[in-house]
Amino acid sequence: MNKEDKFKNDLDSICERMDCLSEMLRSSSSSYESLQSINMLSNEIEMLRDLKDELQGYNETLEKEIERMQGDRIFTLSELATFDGSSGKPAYVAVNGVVYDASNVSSWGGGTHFGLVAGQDLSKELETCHAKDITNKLTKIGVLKV
Amino acid sequence: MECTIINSKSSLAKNLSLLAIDNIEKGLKKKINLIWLEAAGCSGNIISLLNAENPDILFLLNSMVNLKYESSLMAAQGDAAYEEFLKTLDTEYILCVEGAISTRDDGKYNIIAKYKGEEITGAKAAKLAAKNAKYIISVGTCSSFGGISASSVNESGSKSLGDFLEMSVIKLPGCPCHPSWVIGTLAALINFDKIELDEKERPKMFYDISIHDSCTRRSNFEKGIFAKSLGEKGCLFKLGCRGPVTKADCPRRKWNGYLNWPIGDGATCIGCTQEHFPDGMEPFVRY
Repeated sequence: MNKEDKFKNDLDSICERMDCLSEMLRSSSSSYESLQSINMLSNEIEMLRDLKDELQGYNETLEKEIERMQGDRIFTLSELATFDGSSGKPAYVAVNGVVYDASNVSSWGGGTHFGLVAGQDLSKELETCHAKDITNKLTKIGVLKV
Repeated sequence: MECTIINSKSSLAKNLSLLAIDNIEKGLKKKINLIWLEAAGCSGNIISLLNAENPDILFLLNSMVNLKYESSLMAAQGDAAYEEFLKTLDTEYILCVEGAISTRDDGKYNIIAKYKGEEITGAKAAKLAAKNAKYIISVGTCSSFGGISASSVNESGSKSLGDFLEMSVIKLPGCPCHPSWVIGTLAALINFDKIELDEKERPKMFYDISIHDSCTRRSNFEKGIFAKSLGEKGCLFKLGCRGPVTKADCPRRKWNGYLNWPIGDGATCIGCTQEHFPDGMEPFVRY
């Protein structure tokens, strides 16, 4: 079961129990019975609060993951230079402010490509050598901070 | 079980040559003259051709073509050798040129002969021979694309044969060119009077797919198994292998008597048949 389904199931169970407790509260014949139902309802409310906190934490993790996937990791030029594809290191290249992963792009053997070396801003070179925009074929890694 | 497709491709040059010889013997085709010029280069392509097997060079020379002029192989020398060249120009012939054409200072960086006191440049001889040639073939990367001769800083002002002549030529790049590529192309021209070329004027039958496409280590690339140093098992891509950008049939044809090839021996492909070789293919190995 995935995380979302678990949240939904937990919420459904709590709602079901609260409905039942409300019914019990309405039909209670003594103050003792009413008090017991109210206590049990309080427990359910506490469980709802816990669930809400858990859900909030999960949303934050998701947002971070989405940010990472959208390529919001920030590189300076000197950080980018360390990803030059040598000695098995990843080969990253920056084009128009976006950092892409060229590590497993077949024309980038050893982090080099027709005299160019990874770990640099290659916006001008791309514009000169490629008639079409080929960046849509690359995996976005982050953005370049100039 | 051996793959019949690979077997047929490996023996393509041989089969074409045998067909050409058969056609010549039956009188269906003429045994054509051949001029082989060594222009601005290392003459490595004629050395490579001498290593041809199935068919070997003697078989080729005696049965398929009449080699009229080749400065390293012919017995004649000096004026007599160049006269042989001039005489052949009035016949039907195929022109093979290896090496780029040096153009700086009127081509004086590449003197191929001395005739009656005059220094004959590679450029002059190429222009003369190209005029009436039935087919013109650039043998090797220098002649096809400029190669090492035209690499930075290019002091000799070297150009590819096609650029120098400003015309289409059949290109057989490779540093050196595989003997089967030369013999197979000659045989195809003798047999069929034409040969199918790709967009860079290379015969499709030898240069149709990349080294990477038919590499014996291709599965390692797909699975992400990469060699960390030369000689190791695994794909050599992370060490700077140029197989993915280089078109030739080396993986199945192999070299030195069809025995082995660079990647088979644990070294990277340096992209020697690529039009940007060598400048655009460097570094050849990267750690």
